[in-house]
Amino acid sequence: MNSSRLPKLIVGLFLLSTAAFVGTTYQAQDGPWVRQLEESRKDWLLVRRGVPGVREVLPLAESTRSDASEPERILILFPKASPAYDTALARILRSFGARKRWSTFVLVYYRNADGRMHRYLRKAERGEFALIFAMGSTAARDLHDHYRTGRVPVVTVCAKDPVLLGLVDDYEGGSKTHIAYTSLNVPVAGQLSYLRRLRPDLRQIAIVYSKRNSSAVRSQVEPLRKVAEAAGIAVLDVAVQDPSAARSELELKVATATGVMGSKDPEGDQSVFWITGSTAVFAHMDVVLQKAEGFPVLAVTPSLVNGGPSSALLSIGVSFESNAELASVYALKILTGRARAGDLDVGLVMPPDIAIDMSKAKALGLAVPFSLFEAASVIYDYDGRLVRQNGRALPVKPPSE
Amino acid sequence: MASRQPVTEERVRVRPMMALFGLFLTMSAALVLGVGMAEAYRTYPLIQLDRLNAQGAVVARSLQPYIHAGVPLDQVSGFEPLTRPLMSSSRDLKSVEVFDASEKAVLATRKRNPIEARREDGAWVHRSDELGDTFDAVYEVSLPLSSRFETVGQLKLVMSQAFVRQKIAGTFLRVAEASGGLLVFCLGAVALALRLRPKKSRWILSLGFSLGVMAVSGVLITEMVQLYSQGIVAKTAALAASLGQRLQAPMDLGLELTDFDGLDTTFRGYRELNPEISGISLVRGETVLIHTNAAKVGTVAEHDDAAFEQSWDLENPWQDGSEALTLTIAVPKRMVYASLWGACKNLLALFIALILVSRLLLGLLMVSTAGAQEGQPTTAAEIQKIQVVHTVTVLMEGLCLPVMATWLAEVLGRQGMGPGAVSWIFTAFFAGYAFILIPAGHIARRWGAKTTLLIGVGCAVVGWVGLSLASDYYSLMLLRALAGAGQGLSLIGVQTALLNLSDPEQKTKNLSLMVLGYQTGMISGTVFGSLLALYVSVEMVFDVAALLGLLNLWLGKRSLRVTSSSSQSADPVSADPAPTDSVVGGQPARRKASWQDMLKDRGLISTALLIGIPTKAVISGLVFFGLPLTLSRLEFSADEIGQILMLYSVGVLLSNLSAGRVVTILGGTRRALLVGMGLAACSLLVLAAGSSGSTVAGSPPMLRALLWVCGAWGLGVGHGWIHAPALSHVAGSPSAHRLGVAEVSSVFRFLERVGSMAGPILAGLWVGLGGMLFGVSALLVLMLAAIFAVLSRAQVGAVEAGP
Repeated sequence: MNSSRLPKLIVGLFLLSTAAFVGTTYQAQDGPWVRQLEESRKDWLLVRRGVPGVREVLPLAESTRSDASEPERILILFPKASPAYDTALARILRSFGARKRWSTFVLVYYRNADGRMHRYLRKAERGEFALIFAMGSTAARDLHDHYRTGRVPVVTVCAKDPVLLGLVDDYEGGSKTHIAYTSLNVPVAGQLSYLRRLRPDLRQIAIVYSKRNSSAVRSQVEPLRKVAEAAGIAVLDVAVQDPSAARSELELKVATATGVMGSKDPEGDQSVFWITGSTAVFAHMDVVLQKAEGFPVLAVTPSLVNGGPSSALLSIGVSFESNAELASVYALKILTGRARAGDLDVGLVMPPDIAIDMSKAKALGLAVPFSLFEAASVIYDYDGRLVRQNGRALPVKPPSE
Repeated sequence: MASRQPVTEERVRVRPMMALFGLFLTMSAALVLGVGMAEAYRTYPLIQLDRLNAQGAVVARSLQPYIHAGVPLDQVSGFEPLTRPLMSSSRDLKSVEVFDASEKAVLATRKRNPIEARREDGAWVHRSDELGDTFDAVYEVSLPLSSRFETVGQLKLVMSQAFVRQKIAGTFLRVAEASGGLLVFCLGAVALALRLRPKKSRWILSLGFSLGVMAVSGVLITEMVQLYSQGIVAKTAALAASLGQRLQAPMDLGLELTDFDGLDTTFRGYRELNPEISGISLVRGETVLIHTNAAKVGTVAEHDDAAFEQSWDLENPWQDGSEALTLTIAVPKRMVYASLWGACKNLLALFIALILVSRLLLGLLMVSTAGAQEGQPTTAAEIQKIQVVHTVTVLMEGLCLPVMATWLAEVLGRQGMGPGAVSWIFTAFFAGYAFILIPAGHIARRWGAKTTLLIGVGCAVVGWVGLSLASDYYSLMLLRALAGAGQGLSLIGVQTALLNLSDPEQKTKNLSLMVLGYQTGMISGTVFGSLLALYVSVEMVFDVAALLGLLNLWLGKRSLRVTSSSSQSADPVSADPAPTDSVVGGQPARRKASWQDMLKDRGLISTALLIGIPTKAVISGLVFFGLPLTLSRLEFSADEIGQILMLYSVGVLLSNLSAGRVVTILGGTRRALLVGMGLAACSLLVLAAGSSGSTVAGSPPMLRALLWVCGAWGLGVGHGWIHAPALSHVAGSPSAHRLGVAEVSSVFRFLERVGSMAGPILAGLWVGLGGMLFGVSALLVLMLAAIFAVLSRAQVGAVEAGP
């Protein structure tokens, strides 16, 4: 090889590899971090604009506004990819569409790209966006820390309890900033009141959770413990220390808790198991149910009530859809000038989403409070068949022999 | 008490008497039916609206699952099949519609209304109209439709008013037919009785009138019971359907109700929302599974005869042979009577007013149709006519009393003025009344009794006409002063006329007719006015009063021929509303009264300052001003306020009749005055208890009503034992012996007017105290009575004059 060509070759190779690296990086960042669910495809279209980490959702129907102005633009900040966020997005779109509010949504994914978040917040300050959705607890925290004094109103969605997260002082009275908060949690005092409807003489709660799920510990376990103990209810910890050994831990610890509760409550009508939102526990519900031996197993997460053999008896929580619906209501109130973001109370889904598996109730010989039945969105019958969904009765076949 | 005219040689002409009596009885019966019908129009639609509300709740609950699921309202399917059974079963229901948050109708089920219309060629054809035709007014019930987060729309049920009107009209047609028959029977019986016993004609006519009105009232009440019962039964059925739908929900999902608990709590909650329900039960077969009365659980289901019961059968979709479940809701039958209670009270008050008015008119009827006897029938007829004119003049004032204070408070409140301003307007009335008395005697002497009377009525009419037109403060004050002057002139005119027409031995009795006429006018006026105020505006009531006054004026001008009695000199009568010298033994005035002489008379001054003035202040300030305002704030309706005022006036009337006897029994006017003051003070304390917040809150309505009834009645009785005895007391004072009864009495009456003027002003200062106003007044009255007791004991002689 001619020695004079070598430097050019090296430079060329360097440039090529750099370009490949950058291209790869961009491609990784612009991967499928959001999915458009089927239910929203009739009215909305998710498009790429060639900017990494940015998507737009455009209305397929024409705007119903009489003026010819451009539809308002709404910014949604995603700190990460999550199926829960996809569900929330679909519900937001459905909610806006049902009210004929054909806005344009700009979705910005800013994981490991804080600069992108700030850039779009500056755009918002320049008037490019009418409202911002903060998707998830992380985004809620980020906007609280970096945009609390901004001008554009913000609504949090799919985020945990902002009071417990320290983002706002109280559930009532509003944040007094331009941020309106919604909560994916049921306030523990409310949760306890529902538990007491099921068990009026409640004296013991065994909380099942994963120690490593700090979010669940902080937002579900500790608050419930505090409120329950203040009400004179004993709280037993059934904590999974090592998720990889969750099954064996649960076999032992649930059985132990059953024994302890049984000694103080032989009739079994003053005690419950309470499953928090920990994946390490979800996967082994069959063990929990088996070892619970006649004590009702209740859950925070609606999906744990499913009519199957590993179904909980009852869940009291908030679904992503319900929370997103509430966030949409808040957003529309702000956009139509009926409310100011800082004046809105923390959005709580009340009554919460309740799911009941009547087959489990029958097996335990437990009478379900009629008020819970009337409030339930999801109900499974004695055979584990889904007979009510989203509050609507489904066609029911005669009971099996 | 009305005087009995001698009829020894009168020929009672039966036919004209019966004609007029029949006319009066028919008009009274029509009035009773009118009040009943108006009451039915007030109450029956409310029962129907409650039913509509319950039916609407059923539809709303059916939409709830869609709303919960976030389905837009315009995408809800199955609305028409859902509402069709309701529309079919309710004839009066015109439409059921759902409106979204922007008030756009998104779902609707409407009923086509066949309406008959006449074609140009005269034939009748059916013409169907969509909702929105201009012929039929509607009632509308609106229920919010809400998700967990916001109100998403409204459910509206529209009910035709025509059906409600038809129902009420049908009922009253039956009542009218039955009443017609009863009246014909009554008239026949009266005619027969008159032929058989002509000398007892007045008694027969009075009894016939009373029984006729009572019979019509009885028929009316019976039919209204039926009407209200039907309404309450329909409402109960709707309540049963609403709760039944909730219980049916788990069964529709294939679930057993016995797998749920807390149904008793659900029943109790439903009962709290609908307090008219006395019991809810769920029965399987014959056995009570759940009952709001825990003692009945597990027992055999029994029918409750004291309640309207409506059942709803819960359907078992699998029809697996298990025993049927039945939900039963009971509403006590006394709910009907509770709904009717308002009508009964009004009818009773109307009955009393009609009896009083009938006495007057029947008296006039008697003397007008009797065969003329030289002098006496003419004089008797004139006296009766004067009584009628006087009573109607007072009735005009009574018409507006139940609403005057509240209306003035509203009008002046809009101009930023408080209750104190209202009290000054009341004072203006009494000031006009008092000050016109000074020249009234001169006017009567110069222009005669009839002219004075008619000028007075005319002034009162102008006052009423002006009230419905004016709203500024000074105009109102002037108009009320004019009305007061009119009443005062009218009083003097009547008094002069009666004195001119009366023989000396008849003066007292005829003057007492004034008291009877005043109370009759006041009682019947407050009753008629309070009933009228329920259905028309207050300004219309003023216009009715003015119209009545114009009619009175016309009749008085045409029919009155006031002449002096032939046995009496034509001396003019002074402006003296008090009994004349002949009442107390015919002592004429010895010399012109001097104020200094009268001021030295402790008996006169103490009676005026401690008894007369405070009593008049209580009447004008508390009874006619403070009481209606306080009752209005306690949310009493206009008819109830009128009834309480009526009770006061009836108390005065009845005790006035017995005042002479009371004085005799107690041994003198002094004691009678003290008893009267004591009773008035106690009654004021009872009224204070009835209006105090601590008594009102939490005490049963019957107790509160009883306090008001007893308080008003007792106050009237107490005042009745004060009015005439006070005058007699001063008539027996040393000043009266020295200076003349007429002069002293007139000064006393004038001083009393000071109390009338001051009453509203003082009450206006303290009206914000509520019940405390009556309590403080009671203590003041007691204190003044105690001082009077001490001072009068030391006085010699004259204060112990008997009647």
